[in-house]
Amino acid sequence: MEIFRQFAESGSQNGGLVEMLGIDWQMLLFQIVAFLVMLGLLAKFVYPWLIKSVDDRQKRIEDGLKSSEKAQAEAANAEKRIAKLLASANKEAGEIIAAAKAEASETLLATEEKSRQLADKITKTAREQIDNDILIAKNALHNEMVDLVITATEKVTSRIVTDKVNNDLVEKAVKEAKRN
Amino acid sequence: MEYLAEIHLEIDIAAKPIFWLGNFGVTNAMLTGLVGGGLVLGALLYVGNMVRHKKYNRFVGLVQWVFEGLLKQIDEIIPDRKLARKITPLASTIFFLVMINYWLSVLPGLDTIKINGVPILRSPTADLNFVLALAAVTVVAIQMYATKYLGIFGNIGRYVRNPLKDPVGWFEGTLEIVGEFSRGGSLALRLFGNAFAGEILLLVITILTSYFAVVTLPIFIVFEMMIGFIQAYVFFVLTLIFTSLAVSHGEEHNHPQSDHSPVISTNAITEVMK
Repeated sequence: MEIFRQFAESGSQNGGLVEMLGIDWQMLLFQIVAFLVMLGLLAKFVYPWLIKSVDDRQKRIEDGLKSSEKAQAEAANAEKRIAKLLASANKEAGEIIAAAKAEASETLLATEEKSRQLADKITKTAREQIDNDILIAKNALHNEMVDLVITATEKVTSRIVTDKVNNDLVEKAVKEAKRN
Repeated sequence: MEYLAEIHLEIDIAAKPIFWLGNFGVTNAMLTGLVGGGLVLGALLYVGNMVRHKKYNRFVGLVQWVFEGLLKQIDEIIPDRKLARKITPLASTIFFLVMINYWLSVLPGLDTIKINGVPILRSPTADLNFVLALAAVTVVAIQMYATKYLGIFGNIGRYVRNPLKDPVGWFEGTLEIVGEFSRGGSLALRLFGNAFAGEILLLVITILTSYFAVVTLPIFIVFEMMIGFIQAYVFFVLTLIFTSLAVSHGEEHNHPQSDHSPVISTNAITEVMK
């Protein structure tokens, strides 16, 4: 209540609401001019630089974002390229492996064929050798048998014959033997 | 209670002159305002110079951070980027000046250090001359921007319409004229009321809590600083909204569904008023 009383007293003493509220036109004008001077100084020397710094910063951020998006797009493209290359490499590797397998198979077949031929050759040679050996053995056996026949004939006949008769007899015996 | 009864609290709505320069009385609010204005001017010139030379420190970073926030707000409220950049100096200066001057009211010595019985410390935001000056500059600036944006006749067309052809528009125009004065008055009186009440609040708390004021006063000082920030922000945002309203008026008829239609702006005003 004291405040209201002072307010009322002040109003009645000074005579006007404007004066009571302390509104002074000179002061008001001074405040306006002072503010405008200050605003002019700040608008000239401060705000352009502050606005520029904020704009530059925003531009840097936007550029960074753009670069980031570009990098992401490039990374995605690179990934696609890598995937494509991997697929291509896999395909190529598959083809190489298939070709290698085919070649290996062919090589194996060729080797088997060669081995088989070699084995056949060895077998053939061995057979020929065996045949030869058999023939030699047969001849040796023939000679030995001839000697045995001669000896046996000598013992059986117990008579002495000439070499010519002897040989005729032997050959005759052999021919009979062969015939039998 | 006797202690309280003995107290005679003198509260002056008007700022009191400390000394006279001829017929011009230099008031306590004016002196504090000069200090506040000097602080703002000095700090911003320093920051501007540092930014210009690409030298940065924590203080420069803090001011830049605040300014960036203000600029973002301006860009959001003002539809035209070019106009937004033009109004930035006015709106930002109002914000910094009001906030710093409001904060000066919480300096120790409020109503205790006196010359010839007049306290030397009084926040200019608690002086009607200062707040009316700010409001007057704001209202005139808004009119200038509106004239530049809508043209002279376009701006006059907001207020003056033929009552025979468009009686509703004529009534609306009349309300607009009243609205311009009420907006200016509300800008000034809201700030004055808060600052003045804040100073009285600090005085009353000091007296009521006596020696405990060392404990209670800091709480209210922080509270007052927060109110100072809010009031500066409200003045700043209302300046932008009123400008946005003024320049978007012409588009109201052409593009009623535009993003910055007066309906949206009026809602924004209502939000700020709350």
